Amino acid sequence: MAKTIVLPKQPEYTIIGTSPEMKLTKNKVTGRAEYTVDMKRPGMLYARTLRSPYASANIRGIDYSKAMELPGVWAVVTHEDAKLLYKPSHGNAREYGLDDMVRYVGDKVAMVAAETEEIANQALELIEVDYEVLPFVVDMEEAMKPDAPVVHPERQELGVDGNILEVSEQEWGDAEEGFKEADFIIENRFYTPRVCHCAIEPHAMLAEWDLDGNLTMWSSEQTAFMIRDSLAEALKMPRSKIRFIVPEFVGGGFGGKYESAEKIALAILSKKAGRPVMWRLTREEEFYTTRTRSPCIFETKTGVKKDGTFVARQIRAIVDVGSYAWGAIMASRAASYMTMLYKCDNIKYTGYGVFTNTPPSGAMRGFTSTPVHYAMEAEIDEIATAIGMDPLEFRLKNKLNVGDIIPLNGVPVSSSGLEETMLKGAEAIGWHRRNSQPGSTDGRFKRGIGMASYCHYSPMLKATERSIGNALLKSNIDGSFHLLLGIADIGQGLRTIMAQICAEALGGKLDEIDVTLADTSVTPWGTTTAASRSTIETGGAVKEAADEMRMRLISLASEAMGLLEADLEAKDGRVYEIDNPSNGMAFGEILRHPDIYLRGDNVIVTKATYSVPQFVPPYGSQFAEVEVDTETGEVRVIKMVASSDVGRAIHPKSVEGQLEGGIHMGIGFALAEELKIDPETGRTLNPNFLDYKMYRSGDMPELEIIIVEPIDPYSVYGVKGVGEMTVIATAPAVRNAIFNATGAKVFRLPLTSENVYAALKEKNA
Amino acid sequence: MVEVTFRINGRTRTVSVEPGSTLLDVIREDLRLIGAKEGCGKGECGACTVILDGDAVPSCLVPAASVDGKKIITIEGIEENGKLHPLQTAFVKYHASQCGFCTPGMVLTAKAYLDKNPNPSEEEIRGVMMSNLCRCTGYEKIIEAIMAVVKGDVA
Repeated sequence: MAKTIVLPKQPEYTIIGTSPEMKLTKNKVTGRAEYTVDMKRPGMLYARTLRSPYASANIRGIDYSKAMELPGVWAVVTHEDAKLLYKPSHGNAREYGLDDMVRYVGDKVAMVAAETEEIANQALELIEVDYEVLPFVVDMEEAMKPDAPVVHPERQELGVDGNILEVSEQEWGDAEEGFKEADFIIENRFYTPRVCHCAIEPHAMLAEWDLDGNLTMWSSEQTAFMIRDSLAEALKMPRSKIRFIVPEFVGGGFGGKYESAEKIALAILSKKAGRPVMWRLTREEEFYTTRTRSPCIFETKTGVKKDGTFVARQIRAIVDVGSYAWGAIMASRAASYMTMLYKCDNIKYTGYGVFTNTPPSGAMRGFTSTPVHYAMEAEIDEIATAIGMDPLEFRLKNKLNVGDIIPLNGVPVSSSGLEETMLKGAEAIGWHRRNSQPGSTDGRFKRGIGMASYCHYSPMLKATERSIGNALLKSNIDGSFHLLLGIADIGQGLRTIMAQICAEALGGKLDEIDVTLADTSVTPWGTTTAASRSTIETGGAVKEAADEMRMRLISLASEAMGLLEADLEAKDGRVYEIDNPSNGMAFGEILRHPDIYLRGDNVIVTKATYSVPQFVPPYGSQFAEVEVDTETGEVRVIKMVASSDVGRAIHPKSVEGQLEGGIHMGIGFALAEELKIDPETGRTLNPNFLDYKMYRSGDMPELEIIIVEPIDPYSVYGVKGVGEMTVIATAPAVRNAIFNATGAKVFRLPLTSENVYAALKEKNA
Repeated sequence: MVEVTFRINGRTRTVSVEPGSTLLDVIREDLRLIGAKEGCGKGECGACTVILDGDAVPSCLVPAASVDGKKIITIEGIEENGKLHPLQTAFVKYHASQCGFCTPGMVLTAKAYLDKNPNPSEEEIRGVMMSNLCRCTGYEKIIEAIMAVVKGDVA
């Protein structure tokens, strides 16, 4: 069972820092919660997508006349309906609608709407596609070669040859000079695999048109507005004519639920059919057609002084972005993390984003940070051991401290619990028990302890149009409130957390604040529920809107009570006199006061827009104890300690839930999960839960969650983004524990018995 | 089409089922009980779990035609007189449900086991819950909630 150490709260807050029952949870436990896939609309049809059996092919023609003759089929769309919507651009190759080229096994070719899914499936088999099958490439290094098959030949229109999406070169100081100062240099090559989000709810969406040409879509999604905006652009419609709604219940996202491609095709299909159309993915499709975490190769070089001071760090990264990608950040962002954790004057990063004929890539929890932390944090244990230094001591010596400049953006670290996370985590795992030398114990079953630290890029370092939170707050005459936010709750509990922030700032009652989310016709614009950003960005806007509401109520109460505003405060849904708290008015009494009511001041609407003024770094350290069977390479994680600097926990139990869930995903990445692609055919080999191993309840180690709250001065209430933290450093902590247990150096994830056994053999060779 | 008659959540129902349709199809489409979810359609994730004659089963694998004369309990059928089942109360109280998509299956898997084995160890429960996947919680709070019911901390 998890033990939790929660530090004492600052006493002035009564709603944030507590863990009330999550809103709408009773609907979940009773089966009443309606997810997108549960919806029905009158006359609703069902869509299925025809998918490419080839890894690369041109579509010379599609004949769907036989499919249309099948009773129950209403419409088919192909690239002829949606081709124009495909837009190549520099540094980005997202899918737009349907294309006349397919680029991976599973790429979409056509979409059918029929009265049942069974009929739609039968119709798919009646569609005749004339493919010109092309050579393909699935290996990222092969794809970089000049004569490799080209995944996106249309990019030649832009003057881009080959499969390189983006080359990113970033340097701080002079790495080449730095290495000349080094007493020790090590070089390694790491590989991290392609993995899947595996939200238990498969993607689903529903499109419906009215006869005035307005489109309404419901979708299990991490953003309403950004998809609405891309639909408007693609369909050349005013944004006001598209209503995009993320239902109250979304079955997890993890970065995998915000893409527009099949939504555009579905919208066109629904229009063509003249009926509402529901579309959902099978689990198999979830595995082989949705976005994945990019496989990466990291070639690392690290130089240190004898005393353990970093003098130069260098990484050459190759990021396999699959057939469709998100753009430049996929190749470049990993560099950021080289600058956020440890002091080093000379840092060099070169990153290549490379297209291959494999499933598309995109964001996944710990996006861009998780793979590179595996390489960086494993490298630290390697070099610390090489110079005879304790890896914890090495990290403590080199870490960035509050006030130190983060080279990436030139701003000082505003708050840091990094040292505290290291020391508390070390104590909890029993760091002193580790082997003084890697692999120094005898016997077949060897135990070891390892750690890794991390920082995450959350939210964006500076305000962009996408990193803005908006909040709209409306009063009711009884003193209850409606909070309208454009962001989506995808299961993490954002609805409750936003209400807590609102109630705290307003001086209101938590259960009298109703929260409406992610409906483009109702709520203000909202960004993605991604990058661990919601509590920071939108939470900031909620606080400001609620602060203004409180001040308006105090102002009205001052008039009604004949007291100065400065003598009044709001709490528990009423405004009261500070020196005489029994003298007060409930919010509803203020709003119903005849003078106020009659002039319309009972209807108060406040609106705030917020972006965090400075990067607030979420730091953390994770510790693993493992037992390795040196005869089989099998690894058992005995205990994992996640020690996390969360800034401030608004709802500590849901923070724990995020941290525990992150470890589950991190442990899968560390030990078990890998989506395998057949090099001969480009097919996904393991698109199911039997062959793609996700950890189950009995597989999990003992977890200990430690929450550290240094309270950041820049964010509202000092919060940091917690959604992604613990996925990041789990794998390197486990890997370093295996190193400590056995002395074997594993460079390839996942740490399956096969990969660990190979490393053990290499060590003994 | 085959007619099948069964008891579901204490009521008798007769439905016509197509060959090849599953108990999950009948529950969701014919009876419009949406608590059972399809997460994989292959019996690997447990999101569609219902209790069939006392055993937790993945309803996506059960042929609809085979349930004639049987007794089925879905997540909609375990509240009593408007009061949540202790497992449901515990899942709420211990924050064991994040996105909630796996929750009905989790609750029913636990219920079927606890109905027969009221005093299991935590290790046993971790083993029993192996049939159900969750991607949100890391299982910690799910196990904690179930054990709270076992210990009588939740009524």
